[in-house]
Amino acid sequence: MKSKFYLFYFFCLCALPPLPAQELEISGYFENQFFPQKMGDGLKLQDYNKLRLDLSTEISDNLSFNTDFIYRTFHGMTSINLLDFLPEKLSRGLVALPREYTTIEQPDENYLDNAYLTFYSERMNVRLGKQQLPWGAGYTWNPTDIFNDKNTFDPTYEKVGVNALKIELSFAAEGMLSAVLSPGEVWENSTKALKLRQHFHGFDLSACFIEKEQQTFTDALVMGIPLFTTFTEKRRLFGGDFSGELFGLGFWAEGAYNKMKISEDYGQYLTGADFTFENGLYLTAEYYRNELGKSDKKDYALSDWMRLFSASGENLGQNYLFAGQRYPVSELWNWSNFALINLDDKSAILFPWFDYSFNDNTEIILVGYLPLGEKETEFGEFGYGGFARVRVYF
Amino acid sequence: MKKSGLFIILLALGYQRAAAQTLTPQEIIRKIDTTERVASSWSVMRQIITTSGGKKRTLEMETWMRDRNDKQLMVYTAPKRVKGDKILMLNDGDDIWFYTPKTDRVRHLASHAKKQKVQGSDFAYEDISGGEIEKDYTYQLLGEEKIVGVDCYKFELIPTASGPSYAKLILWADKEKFLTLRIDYYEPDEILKRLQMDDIRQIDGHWTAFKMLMKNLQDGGETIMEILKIKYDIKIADKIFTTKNLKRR
Repeated sequence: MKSKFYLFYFFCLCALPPLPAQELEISGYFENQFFPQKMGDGLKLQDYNKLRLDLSTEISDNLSFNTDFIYRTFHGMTSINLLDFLPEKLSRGLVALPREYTTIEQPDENYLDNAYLTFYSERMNVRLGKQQLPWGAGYTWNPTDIFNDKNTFDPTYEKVGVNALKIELSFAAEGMLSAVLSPGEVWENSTKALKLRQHFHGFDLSACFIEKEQQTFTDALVMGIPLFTTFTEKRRLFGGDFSGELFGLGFWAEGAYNKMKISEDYGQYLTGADFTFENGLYLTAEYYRNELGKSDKKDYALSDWMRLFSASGENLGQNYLFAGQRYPVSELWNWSNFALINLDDKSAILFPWFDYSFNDNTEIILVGYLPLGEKETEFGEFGYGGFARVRVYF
Repeated sequence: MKKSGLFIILLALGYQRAAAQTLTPQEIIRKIDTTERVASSWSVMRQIITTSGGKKRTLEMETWMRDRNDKQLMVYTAPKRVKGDKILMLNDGDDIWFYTPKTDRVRHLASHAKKQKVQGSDFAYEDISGGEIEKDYTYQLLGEEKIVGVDCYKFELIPTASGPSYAKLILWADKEKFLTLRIDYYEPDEILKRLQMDDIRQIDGHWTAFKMLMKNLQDGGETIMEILKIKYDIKIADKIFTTKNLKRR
């Protein structure tokens, strides 16, 4: 039924009478990703094919429409058992549960990723519909971005669109006030956000306030079995970020203080720096302080792991270091090495990363996952693996 | 009578040459800056990157410049892989922002990032950003040399704090047109790259190199920038050169 709706939607778009065919731009890409990972004694294989179709048109001088549709098919291991990723002390009690309680199914999917109208004027832009809302100056983490789920293993990958109304008012040369409303069922559970941004003497500075209603994970003991549950609560975020240059280094910082209605308030802060040498070698590092996490691995509860596995992707520990290097081996090859380190439980994951421009419109990425650490640490039980991604643009 | 007319012409030419010969290095540099820092322009360009292994990548872009290159905007139009990527340069290239529609994110580049190659080409951000020789370099006239049959002034340029990261540049400029014809980039005594201008034409009264070849003398790769269309002294709105405009799709 859903597929039929999107097909109908696509044909409607293509048939919009006031738009001459040459004004409707069609583009997109096909992507295949193969993801082998060692789990237990075996090698589990996952694979997907993704087709993204982008349509855009300038309806008039000050009005445009953009949309993209995604169709993705999953192959290989499409059923993920969370017990394979949990420490034994937590998974032991869950083994008795029916399989559907501990398994995430990955069915084929098709959805409108983005679909929005944008109205432009001298001082104001208004965007309505499912859209990208990337907030924050951080690279691996973005404490002020509550709209998107960030994959710390692949932080620059495109995000899923957010259904919202965004109004941007510009002032002075590079100042901007943004207001976002992402509607929920009623006004009270809708997400409201305000952001003030200014460029000042080479620095991009911003301050923001966000109010949203969210699902919070918590632990529960049911018949002696440690389980987890969720509850709904209001979250108010006060945050800001800046990026610029200090002592010849690129420098950025981002922070958010989260005032929670029921659970404990917490802060999340980061700072990072980067530098490029004459030979093109690029170095970067980012430190992240996460007050939502635990400083001792013994305190990692099932709810913490579930929060990590969930869309929010919040890490388990309190202190993290991300460090990396990228070197252009040739015009077409980049060789990078990244490390994500949990400074509390002393576990880490290393990512050797190669990207290659196969031709004008084809890119190939090869990434390895090399986990380090003891048992029951965040990365220590992550299986060796990696992924190969091919993307062809059209 | 004819003879006296010819004499006057010869005298005028002789005076011009003598005047040119008496130009100070500062006057020459100012003339080069005046020639190359135009009031405004719009162009469509093609970039052909040839790797050291002989593989080719072709990119196309549209560019807008204003206020004597103080403000520049580059929008990639092909291939699809980079289509919609934008580079905004303000304050003679001191401030550079990069935008990609894939993530709808605008990123301000720190100074060190200006050494990075632009879309894998042999041009770094600092090579394509605006700037003014008189402000960004200390210079010394080394003499005169012929470059591809054209009489040129030869200058050594040492970047100041506001200049690029290279240790020095050697620049050859056409003695008549006051247009740069070649630049060698050094780090510090080793030559890194050579930029060679070719296919010089006069458009709307401005001397323009329709072909620029940047040769990487370290790895043998090269990038050709060709101008496909160009217009000078056109009216370009201020709002084009804002980070807000980068997100316009």
